[in-house]
Amino acid sequence: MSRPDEAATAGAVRSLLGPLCVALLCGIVLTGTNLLTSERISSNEQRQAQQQLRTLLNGQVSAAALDQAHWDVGTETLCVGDSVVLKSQTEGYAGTIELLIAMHRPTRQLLGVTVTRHLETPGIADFLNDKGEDGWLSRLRNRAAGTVSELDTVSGATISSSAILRSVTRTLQDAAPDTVCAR
Amino acid sequence: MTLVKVFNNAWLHNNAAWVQLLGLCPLLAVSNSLVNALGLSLATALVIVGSNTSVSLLARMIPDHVRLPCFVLIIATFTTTAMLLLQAYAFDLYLGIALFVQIIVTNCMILSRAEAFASRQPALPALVDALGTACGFTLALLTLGITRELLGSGTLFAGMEQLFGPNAADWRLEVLPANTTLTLLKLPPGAFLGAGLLLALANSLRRTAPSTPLDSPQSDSATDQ
Repeated sequence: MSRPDEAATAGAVRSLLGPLCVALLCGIVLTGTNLLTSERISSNEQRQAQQQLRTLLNGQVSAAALDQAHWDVGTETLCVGDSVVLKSQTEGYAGTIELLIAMHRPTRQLLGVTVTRHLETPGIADFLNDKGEDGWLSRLRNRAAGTVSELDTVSGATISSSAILRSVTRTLQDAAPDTVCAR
Repeated sequence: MTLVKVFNNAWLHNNAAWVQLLGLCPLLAVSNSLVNALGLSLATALVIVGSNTSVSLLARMIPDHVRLPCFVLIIATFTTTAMLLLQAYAFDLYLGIALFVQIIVTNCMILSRAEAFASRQPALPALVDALGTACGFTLALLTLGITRELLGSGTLFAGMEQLFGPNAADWRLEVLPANTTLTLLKLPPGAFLGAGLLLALANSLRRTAPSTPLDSPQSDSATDQ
């Protein structure tokens, strides 16, 4: 093998090794951070899910039942005592709105609705984040399933609010929790 | 160039947002409240300090023709690190600004510092430059964040508990009564208007201040090399 060839090979090896080392270092940093944070992150996610259930079922089921309840991966239905929480989603103005809908199983009455994710316009659709007693969503508490569509939509956010009303009505109609919550 | 000069150049004379007009997407999108602005500033600062220093240290290993993919890989690593840290220590804040933390990786401000400065300088000046750029960007984000929160929501320091723990919930100040606020400022058009007015203010300050040289970004990259 002649000398220029060797030099070219050495150059090629060098230009391959450099990026490889960079990639390896990046991988080490990422693996390390992931190891350090994964436990905290998953406990944060669990706390968040628990918090959402608590807001939704506030006062409706016993604290013991709430503590036991947690979402299994991939399920859309969660049975908590006498109640059932259903995941639902609907198309709003700017994207998908994800909802949790709580229903009392024996009476099929709507217990409450909470929005877990949305992309609606900030400032206009802020009522989706309002978990308080005066918020629009709180009007959906303790309602008979048939009366949901009678509720007024929010002026200025008609698309978002009517999408939620439609989704809640449909979910309550279609819900068949007794197949999941057999007890 | 002395380190002080490097720092002043990075945060003031060539402020990434108000002078070079880089990184405007996160600046406009996340500045609707002070806590969001602060969260994104911290994440961006971590990424630029990490990537500038690493690029400077690794520059000799990186062949010239594949340097951009390597820089992007390094920036992406630090962006993911910042995301994981936010998720672990400020989860509620992360939920609000997640999208904009993820796109730090495409922030041309960071890539331009890696390419134009860090890859040609030793680690210490690169670190100082990164700190200066981060301070400048934080300053821009905070001024816009304060303006928009104050005039758009009438509050200051609202939601600080997302970043500083439950005790910080008391920091919230109601400055303006609810009926005097301009909702427009919370919305995207308000970001453009606010940023435009602040940019005009920054420009007029730079013109009137006698001690500040009117450096253009082009002359900066010439002095860097």
